[in-house]
Amino acid sequence: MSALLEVRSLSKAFGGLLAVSDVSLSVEQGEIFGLIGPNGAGKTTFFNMLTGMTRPTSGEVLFAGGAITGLRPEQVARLGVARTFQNIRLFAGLSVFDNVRIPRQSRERSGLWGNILGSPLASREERETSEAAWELLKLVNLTDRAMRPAGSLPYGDRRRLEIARALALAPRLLLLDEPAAGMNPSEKAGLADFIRQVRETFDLTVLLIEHNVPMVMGLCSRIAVLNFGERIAMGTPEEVQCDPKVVEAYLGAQKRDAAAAGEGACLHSTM
Amino acid sequence: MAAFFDLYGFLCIMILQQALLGYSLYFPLMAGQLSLASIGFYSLGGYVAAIMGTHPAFEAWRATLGWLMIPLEWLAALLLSVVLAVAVGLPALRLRGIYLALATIAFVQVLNVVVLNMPIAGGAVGIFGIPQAFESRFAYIWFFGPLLLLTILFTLRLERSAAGRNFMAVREDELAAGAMGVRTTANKVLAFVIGCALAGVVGAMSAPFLNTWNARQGTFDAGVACLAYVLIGGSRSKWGPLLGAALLVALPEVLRPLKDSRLILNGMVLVLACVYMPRGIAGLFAGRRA
Amino acid sequence: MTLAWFLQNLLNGLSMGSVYAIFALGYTLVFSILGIINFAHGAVFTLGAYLTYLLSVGQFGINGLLAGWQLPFTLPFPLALLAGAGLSGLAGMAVERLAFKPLRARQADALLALVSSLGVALILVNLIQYLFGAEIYSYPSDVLGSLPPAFIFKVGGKPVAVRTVQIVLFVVSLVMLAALAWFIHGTKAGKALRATAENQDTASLLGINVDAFILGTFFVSGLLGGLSGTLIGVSFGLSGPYFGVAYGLKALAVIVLGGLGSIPGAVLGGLVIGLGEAFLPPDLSSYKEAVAYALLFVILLVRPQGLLGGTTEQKV
Repeated sequence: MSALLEVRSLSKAFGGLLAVSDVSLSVEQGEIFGLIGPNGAGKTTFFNMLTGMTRPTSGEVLFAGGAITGLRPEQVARLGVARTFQNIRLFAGLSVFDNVRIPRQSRERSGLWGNILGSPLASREERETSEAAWELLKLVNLTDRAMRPAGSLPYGDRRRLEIARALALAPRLLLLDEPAAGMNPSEKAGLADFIRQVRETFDLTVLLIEHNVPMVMGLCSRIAVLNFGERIAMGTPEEVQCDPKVVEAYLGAQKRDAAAAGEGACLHSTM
Repeated sequence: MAAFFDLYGFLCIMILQQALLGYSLYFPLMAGQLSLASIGFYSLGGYVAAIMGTHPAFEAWRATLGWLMIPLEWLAALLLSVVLAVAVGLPALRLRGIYLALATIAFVQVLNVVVLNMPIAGGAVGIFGIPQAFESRFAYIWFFGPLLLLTILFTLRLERSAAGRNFMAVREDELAAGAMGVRTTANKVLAFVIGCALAGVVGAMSAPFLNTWNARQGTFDAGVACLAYVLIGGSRSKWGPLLGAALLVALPEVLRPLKDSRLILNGMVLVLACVYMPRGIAGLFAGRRA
Repeated sequence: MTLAWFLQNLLNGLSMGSVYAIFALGYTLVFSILGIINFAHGAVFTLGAYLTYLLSVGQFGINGLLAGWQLPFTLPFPLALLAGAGLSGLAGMAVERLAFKPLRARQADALLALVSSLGVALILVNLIQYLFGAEIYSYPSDVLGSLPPAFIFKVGGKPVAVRTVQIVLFVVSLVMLAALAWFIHGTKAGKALRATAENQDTASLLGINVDAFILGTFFVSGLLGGLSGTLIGVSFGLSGPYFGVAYGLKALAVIVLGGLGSIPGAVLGGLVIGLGEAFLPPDLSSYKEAVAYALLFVILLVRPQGLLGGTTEQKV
């Protein structure tokens, strides 16, 4: 196993405030890596820096061995890094089908005039894109609603569509920003299975932000914990779970004192 | 029939011509960009055709090329528009929403002042006596008709192709489009340039049609009228610019018996249309079908 | 480049710039509350100029429906200025009720507000033309009473002339700015206004009557528009019902230059453009009308948020 994503002392300051401070981590090829932390810990800012949406104040991001720091979002995406958004950002007015076709067509070579005049290359690429997109819609069970506007889907379907849209980029690294937000426990379990299945099928590496500790504990092979922009812990779920700093960040000083008294407080890992 | 064309021929051509200007704003809007630059490119294209059609420097060209001079004028207007649109678009399209609209207004104003100060453009008087391409005004349908047809066909194809979906992805959510590999800047510039190039060619066709050309062709009011065609017609429909232009160009004619108060009513129609047809005329049809 | 030349241009620039500033503030106030640009503001500017002219001179004469009609009374100029501005404020309220409120109620596309406000502008401008005709009107030279038309003093042996009208422009604008600053920062209503600009939903939860404040904002905006129209009209004459359009566009350049929604920005932008025009070299004077837009274009490319605007970084 080798590191697919390597982050070296990444920092972001907004005005005087350090949203992310000197965070380093590396994600191995094929693993599901979790990034957790309380609200406002800097997780989404961290994602935005990985995907070119926010320019880091300092630090470096390496993807598959090459530096991607400072690239524009579409450049990062075309290298094989796909993401979802915490607050779902589908192309709400476009059809479910088009939502999945758009990322797939970023690899097309035909230009505007090929498209307008229907050149053989453009027609073939259009067919290939549509077929690939349809397969992804099958995967998320949305083929029956393929022509409806994406914004009209119920919440859970929109979450799944957003993952399918990210997969349409044929990425090597998938970044999921709180994919389980707003789901009930059984939906969360289903989502965890889905993420595992997708990783197997597409030979992916997954980095996910999650607020929900139990889900991450069950799903991820390794976890990094952010608090106030700093990485306060990193390791396997078992290691992180009982780390006093993590317990304090999540449960406050009270529990830490209890932990110091002897019984060893841990974050719960059941859903 | 002949009587109808005598009476309304000019009006029909005006509708086609104005609809084309509406389409020139439809393309940037398809990529979510509110631009008012088209009228500047229309004015520029008209000047190109007017100068090539009247200036002594082009006398030899006109003598040699004959009627071929006219398509050459279109081509010159097209190329100049594309070059200028790229030069203006690349920096300006970094701006979002109303900022872009304001930057394009500023561009048109600067262009007008520059043109007024260029001796070759005839100053405030402009250029007149531009040679007619046809005997009758109505024959200009052979200019604007095919161009409008091509534009609509282009729009139809665009909407169903990867290129059009890229535009619409940028319109729906620029940030997410970037994250999904869509080259946002390139697509915004492309949509802008298509619109500007169309406006430039329409200007080049309009100079002989209107016989004279001056800075009043590129006023802010005229620019906003183009936007009104799209919005009143329906900015999400390929028929929107045509429907909007048909209504708004014909309206002052229909209201002509009211004389001086007709422009007041024109304003009222704009307001009422915004309030009661938020999705434009095309939206009314779509709503009925659904 | 003599000191006299510098002073002369400085005074010219400050006087025009201050009028640009108060006119532009009318856009800024509406933008800071509704986040949209009121394209009817230029028409209210024209209306103010015509109303004040009518109230102080008593008639328009030559053309239009009201040709030859005489107002039964006339007001001294200072009173006419105030009355004209007040009526423009009412016109501003009418603009809000006609062009903006119905769209807000339907949560329509913000672009439509642009067209509907232009529609109202078309109505106003053509109403003026319908009633008063399209002629150019100038104020009589004795409009400012017994004041001399200009003050001339010498600096380093060279004369510097200040037209009395320029002083009026500058002083009235400064008074308006001071009054506005006091209103926004020194009164309870101003505080509520700022809260409404910050967040309408929160403001209405706090018991602020948002609708009334929007209407009030349009009144103040219209008042500023009418006042600046009158000031420009006194200085340069009323060159037809469309004379507000060019100034309206220029004031747009002012607010973007200063930073959309920023009140100090609008003042700074007005002064920058006023001074920029005044200090333009004489051989480029035919490019004067392009100064504002060229400055705007440059600033948008270098600093898209304007001179004093906040950040434009988008939230993910």
